[in-house]
Amino acid sequence: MRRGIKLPTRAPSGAAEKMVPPKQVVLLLRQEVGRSCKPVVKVGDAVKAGQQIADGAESGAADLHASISGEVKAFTEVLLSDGTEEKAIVIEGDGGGGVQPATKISKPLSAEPAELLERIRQAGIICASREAKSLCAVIDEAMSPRGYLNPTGEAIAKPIRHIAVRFCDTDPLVCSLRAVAGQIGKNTTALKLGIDALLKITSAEEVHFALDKTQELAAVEKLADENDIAVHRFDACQYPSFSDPLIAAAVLGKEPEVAYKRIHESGVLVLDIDTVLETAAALKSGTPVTHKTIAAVSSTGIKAVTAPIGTSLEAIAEIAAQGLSPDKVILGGPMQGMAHFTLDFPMSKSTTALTLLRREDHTKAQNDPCICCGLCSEVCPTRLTPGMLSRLCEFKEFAQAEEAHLFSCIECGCCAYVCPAGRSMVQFMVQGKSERLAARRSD
Amino acid sequence: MTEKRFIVSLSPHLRHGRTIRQMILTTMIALIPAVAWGVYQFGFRVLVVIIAAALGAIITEATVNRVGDNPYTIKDFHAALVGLVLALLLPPAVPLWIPFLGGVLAILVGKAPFGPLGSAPLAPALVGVLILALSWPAEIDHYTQPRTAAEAVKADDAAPAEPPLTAVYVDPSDAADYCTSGLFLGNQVGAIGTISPLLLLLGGLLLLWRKVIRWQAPVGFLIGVAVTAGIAHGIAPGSVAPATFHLFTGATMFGAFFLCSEWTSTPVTPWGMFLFGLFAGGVVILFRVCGMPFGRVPWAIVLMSLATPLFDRIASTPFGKAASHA
Repeated sequence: MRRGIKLPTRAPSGAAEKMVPPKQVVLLLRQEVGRSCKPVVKVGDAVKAGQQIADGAESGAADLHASISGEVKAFTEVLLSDGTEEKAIVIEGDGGGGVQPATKISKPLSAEPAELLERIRQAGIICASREAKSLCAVIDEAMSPRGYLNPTGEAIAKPIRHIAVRFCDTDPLVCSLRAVAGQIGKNTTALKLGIDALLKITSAEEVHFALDKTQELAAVEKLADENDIAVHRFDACQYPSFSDPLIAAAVLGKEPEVAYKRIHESGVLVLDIDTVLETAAALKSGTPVTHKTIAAVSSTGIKAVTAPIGTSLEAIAEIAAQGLSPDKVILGGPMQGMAHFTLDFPMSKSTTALTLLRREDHTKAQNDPCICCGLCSEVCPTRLTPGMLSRLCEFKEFAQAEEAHLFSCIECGCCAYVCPAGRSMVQFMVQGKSERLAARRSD
Repeated sequence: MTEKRFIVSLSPHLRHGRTIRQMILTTMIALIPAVAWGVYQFGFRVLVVIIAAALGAIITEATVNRVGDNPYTIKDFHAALVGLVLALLLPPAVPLWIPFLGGVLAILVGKAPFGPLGSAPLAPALVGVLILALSWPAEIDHYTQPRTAAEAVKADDAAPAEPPLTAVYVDPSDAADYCTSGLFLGNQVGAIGTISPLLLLLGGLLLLWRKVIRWQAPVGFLIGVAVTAGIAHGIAPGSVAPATFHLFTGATMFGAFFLCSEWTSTPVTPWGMFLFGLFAGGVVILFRVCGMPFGRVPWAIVLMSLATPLFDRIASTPFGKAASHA
């Protein structure tokens, strides 16, 4: 039975528009979950685009680089959507195109895996779709030994056996990965290098490509054909077909365990195409991540924009919606993105899209009582009974919800999308999960 | 400087836009053909019966809202739908106080004590019908001949109008006298809204298409009725009518699409819904064969609704769970 929801529109896969460098960028010192960098520049320093401005060696965070050339203006604090303040470096652009010269690396793959991983860290690569963790952290997490994998308690590691590359965004209304994939064109050497490097680092055996059924990428398919890479086609409109668990299920031929984020142990590492290309750039010429292709989504259209990291959302909003006055600003796509309270906020490496919605574009949650119509159970891609789970969480029966497989929920939002009572299902699920985890921690 | 602050909420930020009110109105629209057929067959009096029931339900709900100091919930049309469904299950010539009282009782006993829409364990309309059937059996039993009776077999003006199921209950061999296509097209004595399986099927298809109901319960119910009747007929052809007769008489079609799939009182898991329908269908035949004068389909479905929490436990294995046990 096909589950999930059919979303009405599909993002166009047009080329990304290159943004005029902004006058000022604000670079958050914490670009990834849990780890932040230490600045290595002072106020008044002149920096070039691509020059390292903060170092994450101490905490294992990915390094941070200036995204435009100019002068370090100030250190500031930015209020994040979770209410905490985070330090950031403000760079005022000089309008020039000063770029840190690339260091050509002749045989990038001759290095040891650990060294490759260190170079990836130094290039500051963040996996936007994986809860904004750095590529190093993602690989580390998947490969590190854990005690609970073994009945004796001795820590063992589960190897990464498959690498799956996602060429299309999970959210059908976001077109950033489609645009990046479209830019590959005929030259697939970078893609090949990125894949080879990741294979070397993870010692995985197989590579898989996940493409939308309408995507025509002849060169990529040829590369797949030549290198024994399996190509899987999904329908992006059948949301959430491009989410990690569903791709992993297609790769493995069976469903991986998703509860408690154990999908990392399934042996499948799902990475976005932009991450793979950034890896290739980092290893080939030491080029760090300074720009990001993101989707600007609004009711007037969907566009892909390549912008320097740290560009204010306001500047991107201008491109997204000329003259449109939004009511809701979302970092990410409309199905899984995070609403933000202000446009006065810098884009970070984990931003995949900026979605602007007017009052008439979105329906407010009503939270009427569940009427047990069964629509949510029909669409849930993980075959849960979301209506029942949401009620259990609403009435604070969190332990019972956990027994009813609350943690198998992947928070895709299909249930909330179809709910005629307008219940904020995902909110109940997330609350339930955090309450259970907090209860366990305090035990 | 006051900068603009935006709305924050958790994902998803888009919704389908379907509302409970729309779903209830769709259900009403799906019932229009059956109502129209009832009006054609039994005259305009049935509209008065429907309005009496709906008024009873709406007035009671508004009063309950008022007394309980709660927001008025009649705007979602659920009370009106309860009245409509209740009226459609009543014979055409009932005294008018019966549907009105039924509407009042449906809300007062079947819905209001449990809270807002979505809390009642049994379908309120069925609660109303069954209270009426238990309390005023003589007043309920007022069937009339349909306009097309002349075409129907056994049309005898002198004999009192008798629903096929009652006739067959008295003498099972009578089943052979009814022509299946006539029953299917709605030429039969019966309750206002239940006599035309064809139009009810069309209404049901509309509900399925608009995703107001799921397919499992109706299909399970029809299979339950057909299979149980088929087996029973095969064992004792002399005392049980064939499956087609049971599918097209009484409230079978009405029950399948408008009662078995009532949201709150029925399960939500795929297998739960199917088995709910299957068992309810079986129980309907049991009641029809082993005796009960009125409300066999409502009784069967109410009985099964009591087991809805159990049916809801028949959930699918969540994603990836089968693999972990293997």
